[in-house]
Amino acid sequence: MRRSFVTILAILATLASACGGSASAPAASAAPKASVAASAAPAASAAPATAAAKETADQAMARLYEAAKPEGKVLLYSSLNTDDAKKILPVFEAKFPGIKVQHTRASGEALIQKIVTEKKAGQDLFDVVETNLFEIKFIMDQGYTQKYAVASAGDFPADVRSPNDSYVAGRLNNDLPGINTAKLPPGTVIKTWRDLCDKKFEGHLAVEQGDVVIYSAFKKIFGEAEAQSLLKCLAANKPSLRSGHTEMANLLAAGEFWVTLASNGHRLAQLRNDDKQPIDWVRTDPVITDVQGMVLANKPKNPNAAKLFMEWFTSPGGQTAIAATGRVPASGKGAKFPELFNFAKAFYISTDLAASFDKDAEFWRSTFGIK
Amino acid sequence: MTTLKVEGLRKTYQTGRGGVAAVQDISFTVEEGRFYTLLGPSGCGKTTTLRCVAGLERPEGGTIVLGGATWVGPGRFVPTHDRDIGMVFQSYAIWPHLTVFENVAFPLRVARTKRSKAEVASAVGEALALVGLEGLESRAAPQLSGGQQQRLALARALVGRPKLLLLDEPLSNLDAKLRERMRIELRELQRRLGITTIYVTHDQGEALFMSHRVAVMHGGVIVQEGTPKDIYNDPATGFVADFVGSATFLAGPLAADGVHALGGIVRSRAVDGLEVGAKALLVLRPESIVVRPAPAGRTNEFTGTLRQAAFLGDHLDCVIEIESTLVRAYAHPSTPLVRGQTVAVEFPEDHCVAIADDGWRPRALTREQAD
Amino acid sequence: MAAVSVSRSAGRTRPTLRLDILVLGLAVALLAYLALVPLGMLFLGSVSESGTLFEGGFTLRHFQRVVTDPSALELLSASFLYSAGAALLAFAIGTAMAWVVERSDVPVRNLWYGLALVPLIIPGIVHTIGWVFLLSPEIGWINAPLKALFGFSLPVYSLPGMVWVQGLHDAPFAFVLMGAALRTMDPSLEEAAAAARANPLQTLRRISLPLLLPASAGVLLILFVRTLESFEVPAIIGLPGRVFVYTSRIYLSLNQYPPNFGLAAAFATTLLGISVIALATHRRLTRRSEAYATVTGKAYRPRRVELGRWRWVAIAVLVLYAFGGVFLPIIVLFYSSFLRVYVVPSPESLGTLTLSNYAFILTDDTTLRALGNSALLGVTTATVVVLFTSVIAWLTVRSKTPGRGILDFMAFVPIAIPGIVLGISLIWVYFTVPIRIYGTLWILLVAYVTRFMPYGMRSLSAGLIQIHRELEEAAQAAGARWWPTFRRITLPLLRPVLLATWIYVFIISLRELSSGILLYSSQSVVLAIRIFDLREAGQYTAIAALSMILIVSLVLLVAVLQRFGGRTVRAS
Repeated sequence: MRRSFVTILAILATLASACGGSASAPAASAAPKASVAASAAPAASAAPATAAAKETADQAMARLYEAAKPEGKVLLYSSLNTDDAKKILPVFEAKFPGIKVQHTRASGEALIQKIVTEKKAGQDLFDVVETNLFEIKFIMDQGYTQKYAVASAGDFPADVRSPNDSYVAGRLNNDLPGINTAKLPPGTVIKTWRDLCDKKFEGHLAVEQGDVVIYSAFKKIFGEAEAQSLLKCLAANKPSLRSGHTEMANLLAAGEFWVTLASNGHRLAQLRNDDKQPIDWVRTDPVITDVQGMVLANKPKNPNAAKLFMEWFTSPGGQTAIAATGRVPASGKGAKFPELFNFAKAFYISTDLAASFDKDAEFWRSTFGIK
Repeated sequence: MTTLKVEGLRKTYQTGRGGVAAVQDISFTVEEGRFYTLLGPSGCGKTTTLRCVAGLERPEGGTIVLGGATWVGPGRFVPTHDRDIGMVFQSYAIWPHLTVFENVAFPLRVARTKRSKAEVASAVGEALALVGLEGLESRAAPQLSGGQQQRLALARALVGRPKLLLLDEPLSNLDAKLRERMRIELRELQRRLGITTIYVTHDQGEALFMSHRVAVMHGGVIVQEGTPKDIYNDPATGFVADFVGSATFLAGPLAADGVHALGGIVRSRAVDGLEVGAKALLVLRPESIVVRPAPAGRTNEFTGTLRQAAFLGDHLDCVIEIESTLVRAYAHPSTPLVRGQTVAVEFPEDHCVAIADDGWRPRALTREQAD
Repeated sequence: MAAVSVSRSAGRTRPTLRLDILVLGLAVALLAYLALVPLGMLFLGSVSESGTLFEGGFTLRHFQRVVTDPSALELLSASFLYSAGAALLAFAIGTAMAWVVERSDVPVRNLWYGLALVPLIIPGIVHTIGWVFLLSPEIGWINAPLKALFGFSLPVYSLPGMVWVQGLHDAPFAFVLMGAALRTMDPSLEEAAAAARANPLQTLRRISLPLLLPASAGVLLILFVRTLESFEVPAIIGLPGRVFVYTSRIYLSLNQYPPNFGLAAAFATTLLGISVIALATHRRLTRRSEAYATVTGKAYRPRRVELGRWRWVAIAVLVLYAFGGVFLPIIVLFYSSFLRVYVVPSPESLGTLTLSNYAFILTDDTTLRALGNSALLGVTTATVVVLFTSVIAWLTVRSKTPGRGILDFMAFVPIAIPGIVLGISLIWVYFTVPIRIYGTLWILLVAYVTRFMPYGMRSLSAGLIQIHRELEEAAQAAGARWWPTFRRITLPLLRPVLLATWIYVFIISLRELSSGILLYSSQSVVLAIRIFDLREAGQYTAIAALSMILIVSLVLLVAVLQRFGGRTVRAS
């Protein structure tokens, strides 16, 4: 019995130490971190004042790297999919040894749910959030973020950053309808979204069930009446509702359906060019381009590492790493698959489209029967 | 014609370690209307034999014939429900979800020839009256006491007027007084109905009390078969003598007029076929032995020391040591006997019988004797 | 407990301090915190206006939405049809198998007992994903050839699909329960029927089936509740098929934005209500069947029907289930784990086999962390549950401490709480109570301990009851006080039960998904949740690899533990 007692004590001790080490330490150990953040904040706010005169990205990163070393990691919440993250994040870790990126991957909606629940439960478990613009706007409105101006901001077109530095975009998603060329009946030509209403696609169309932003884009592009009728006719084709663009694209390649309403362009390009799958996409006019915004948490556990990451992501080095995966870097330079967007104008998703989100979501859900 | 003939019955059970021969080559006949008991210790094969007759076990070999119908024979096996039997199980096997009436009516309801409701009701009423359970028809079966359940089982077995009644240790779960009462009732009932009956028990008192004939079984074979009187007075082996009633056994070579034992000759008769000089076993029933405080000059009188005299109400249970042999005797309760006293013990000659000594020995009465 | 009480001397009026009452009080307080506080918070959350308690007043609009929403009726009927359908399917398969194994002379009996337990070890999410691979409408292993040959495919993303997968998953559970019921049925009742001239069919109809009815009803109800509470199938198969049931609806309420905590709580409360009613009905039913069992009370020699020629049919039935229900999903997972991109098996795909998925799994930080977390959480949960429930069980079974009835009741309350309901309740608790454990392993520990306590209680109470009070009384008569008696007599006798309970809780905590799915963060991710996550990310082939690793480890683990534990781990 004494022996089992010791075992129990050992287990409890291990538990305690495990929890002490993780970012979820109870209040007592939060205090020292808080004071670190507090002391870092004045330094951070002081830095732009003195270095306001054009600190370069490299200078900013060098400074932040020194400050980030004791932190050792950055907690990143991002909907960047795992395969690409595995190519991009190690580049950062190689450039800044000793700083690890802990990547929590979830779709935009799930990410929001996590963040909201954690915040309400009094927890601060993320440093940087990177996901669709609508979701970014939402957490900004909740007050869970703070402004931060990256040194490379000037490199980015105005469409992809906020005027007041509340967010910056690192990458873009071209939302293009995907096609499985092997499954498509020969001779079928799809020029635009309306063509997907053709009855031959009934039961062979897939739609990502959270893609309200597509409808919001339709409204701006075509006007509300046309957008609504477009959505209704698409719904009439009884699309399969999926959760997650990557899953949907993978299934498209496997032949589970013939077409998708909106898939991430780079994934389609990867499947076609790298994996040699029978994939193509519709060259819509305009190209709906979703901006993947990045924001800094209002109470980051690792503020310097967080800023370092944001700086790097938007620096030429980071943008190159992004482009290497086939994704579209927001700076517009070095995209690997220009054929994803070089046929038409880009229609950028912007935050004012989010203003009518509730209404749009309501319409989207009721049209597709999502309860 | 309801004579049951069993011949050459063989049944082996397969266990993990090979086969256990439960019944080895058993043959017996039960005449019409007779009460036949299979008597023996647990594991002797009596229940297996009964279950073979019932059809609940499939024997490897042998024949079972009732009247003119062959139930078990070469290439033939009639299942239980096609045999015209009634059976009472040791646990009564009363169906708990049925009422008393339903339990008894069951055999009539499932019979091939359907009976009208009135016929069923009257037959059930008769059967219940037979066992003394009138008036309890609508009672739920589990609500009956142990004795009542046993009667219910009996009524159920008899209601269909079967040709053969089988009883598997039906009284063993009752307390002593009830058991005595039921013994009398069962015997009386069987004599009245005249139904051919096979009864299985390990209680020799029941066997002697109720049966027309008794078969003593041991190790899967019938050791001796006969009327209760035959079995008791002329046991074939030491085992039978010990199992049916109790006895003191004296082993010794056979002399012309008795057995060499106790330092002399105990005069007795011998069974047929036993030759002078052969190893013999003298069977002495305690109730036949006479114990006196002082010798009375009879034949077969020996002196010994009284080791025990326990008062049992209707007799004194005595153990006397004669020539370092322990002899058990019953004395009249008023005999003045005191432990340690020297007594005279007489074995009346006509109650002494010598049988062949097959090497069987009884279990020791006391630890001393065992040493 | 006289040995431990502080006796008072004559004349003193100070109240006695009894250690057992103190312990009982502490236990009650802890149980109340674990089991009752979350329920209270859940209910309060379901009527709260804003997303936080005590701010913004109360409202019934969440319940209104639950009840009057046009889809409310559909939700209720879908939940019922799903639960009833899967329960019936599992019952049918399980009972057939139980009958074949317990009541016939089919030769592979002992092997079957072992085999039947394997599916109980496999986490529900792995099983479900395996079936998705098999029955994906266009590219499933079963549907692709069906489509090619006959032009139709079996619709898995539908209510029948959900019923099928869940029914198959629960069949072994039904097998264990019905097997036990068959074993406790006195075979002489059926023999008596035969002796009373009833042929086998009549015996079945008039005796066997009616006698099994209370037990069967009980088992059906348990299966119903299990399915009602299940989350894996509704989330993975129901959502894409737009078949919504209560558990997936709770999940969805949180996964829209803004997350609607009040609505989730309202759905959860409704589900809880249904679950409680079902369990109360079950309790009444089992009491009646116990009445049947006490009529005859001995150990039974089983009566086996000789199958003869039908033996081959019976074996075929068993093999069919083993293959179709158990091995097929595993085989498809096995194969898929070697594919880079998921495709239907074909000669071309054979050329693309790769180990990259395993490489990914074994080097992925999050997955490795999930493995570590699961192990740690499993060990801790099992230990805490066993320790805690042994104290409670001892108090309720052995002691005469007043109030132990309350303790017993409270220890069993969590069994009525579906996993996902517990999850949302705990969210509400930790929104209000300023203990910051949301998103950490601690909150998962709280959830798991709460959830598994009834299993520990049941196992340990039964074990304690079997140790006759007289054994301990004999020690006391020989002069031993409470602690030495407990240490030298009770504990050694109880050790097999303690060990078996520990193993059981460990295994089921490794499988657990629904209670943690709303409570985890990247720090506290565990294996089942990691698989769920990977599915959201579309990483099917990686899931296949992880599932294979999980299955193999679990089976090995159980085999090893059983060897040491020396006792069969039965699902209670």
